[in-house]
Amino acid sequence: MINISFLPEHIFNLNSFPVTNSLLVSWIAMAILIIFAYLSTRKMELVPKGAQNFIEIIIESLYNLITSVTSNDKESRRFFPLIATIFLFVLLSNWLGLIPGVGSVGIKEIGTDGAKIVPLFRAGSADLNFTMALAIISFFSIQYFGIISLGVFKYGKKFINFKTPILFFVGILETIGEVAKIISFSFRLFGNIFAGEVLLLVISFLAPFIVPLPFYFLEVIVGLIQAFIFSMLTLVFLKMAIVLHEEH
Amino acid sequence: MDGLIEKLGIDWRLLAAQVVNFTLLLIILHSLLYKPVLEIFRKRSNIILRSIEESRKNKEGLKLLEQRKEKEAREARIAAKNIVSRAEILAKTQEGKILARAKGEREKLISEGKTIVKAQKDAMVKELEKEIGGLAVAVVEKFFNKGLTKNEHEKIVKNIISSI
Repeated sequence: MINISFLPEHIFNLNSFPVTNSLLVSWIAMAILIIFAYLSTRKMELVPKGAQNFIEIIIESLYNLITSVTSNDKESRRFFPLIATIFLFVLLSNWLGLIPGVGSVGIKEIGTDGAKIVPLFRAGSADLNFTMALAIISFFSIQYFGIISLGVFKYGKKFINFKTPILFFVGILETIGEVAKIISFSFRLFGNIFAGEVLLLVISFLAPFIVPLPFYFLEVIVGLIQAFIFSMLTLVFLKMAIVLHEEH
Repeated sequence: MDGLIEKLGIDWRLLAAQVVNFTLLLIILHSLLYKPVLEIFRKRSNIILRSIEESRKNKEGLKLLEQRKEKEAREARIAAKNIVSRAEILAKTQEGKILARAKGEREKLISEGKTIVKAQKDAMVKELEKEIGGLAVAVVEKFFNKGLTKNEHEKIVKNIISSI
C-alpha cells in the first residue's frame, strides 16, 4: 500500500536539531540556487554568453514583471531581491518534488504497525513549516516596508483609527485580514503542492507507466503558477502597504 | 491550539530554521546574483544611453557641418563669381592693351617694310639704269662702229632711260 503522510518525516538529528526530509530538500534547493548563481555570475561580461545569458533572462523578466506592478524603478529595486528570492526558492522547491525518487526513495523503518518506507526527500513546499516561514517573512516584510515608507503612525492608522466607529471597525477588519495573509499564503501553497504530490503518488500507484505523464506536466505548471502567485501577492501587498490608505 | 499546531506538523524549530534558510538565501543571492546582474544591466543601459546621446550629438554636429559646408560652398560660389568677373574685366583691359601694342607694332613693321622696299627699289632702279645704259652704249658702239665720248655716252643713257 502507498504511504501518504501529511507531516514531514524526521530523517536524522543534527546535534539535537531534528532534520526532516522537506528541510533536506530545502537545503538542496538553496545549494542549487547558490551554486548556479555563483557559476553564472563569476565571470560577468557586458556581452553575455552561456549561463550568464540564462540567468539574465530570468532576472530581467522578473525585474520587468515587478516594475510592471510597481510602475516605479526605485520601488522595483527595493522589492526585487525579496520577490525574486521567494519566486526562485518556491519554484525550485516545487519542482524538486517532481523529480522521480522524491517521495519514493527512503529508509525502511520497522515500527509497531509493521515495516514502512520513510521518504528521504519531500518537496519543501509540501511542508507547512516551509510555507508558513515564507508567509511570515512575507507578512513582516509588508509591515516593514509599510512602516519605513509611511512612518509608524500613518501606517498604524490603517489598523487603529478612533476617528469614527466605522473606521475603528475597518481597522479591526484590516488587522484580521493582515494576520489572515499568513494563513492564506501558507495553506494555499502547501495545499496545492501537497495535493499534487498525493495525486502523482496515487496515479503512479494505479498506473505506473505513461498515465502519470500528463499529471507531471500539470504539476510542473502548478509549481510555476504557485511560485508566481506567492511572489506576486507579496509584491501587490507590499505595493499597497507603501501607499497611503486614502490614496487607494 | 497546541493540538492543532501539532496536528499540522508545525514545529517552531523547523519554522525558525526555514526562516533562517530563506534569510540566508536572500542575503547570498542578493550579493552573489542580483547585485552583479543588476549592475551589468545598469552599465549596459548607461552604455546604450551614452551611445544614444553621442549619436544625437553626432547628428547635431553633422547638421552643423552640413550647414557650414553649405554656407562655405555659397561663399565659395560668390567668391568664384567675383574672381571670374574680375578676371573678365582684367582680361578685357589686357586685351585692349595687347591689341593697341600689336597695332603699334604692326604700323611700325609696315613702315619699316615700306622703307626697306623703297630703298631696295631705288637701288634696283639705279642698278637697272646702269645696266640699261651699259647695254645702250654697247648697242650704239656696235651700230656705228666707233667709240663714244663721255658726253655722248651720258646723253644716250639719258635718252634711253627717259624713253623707258
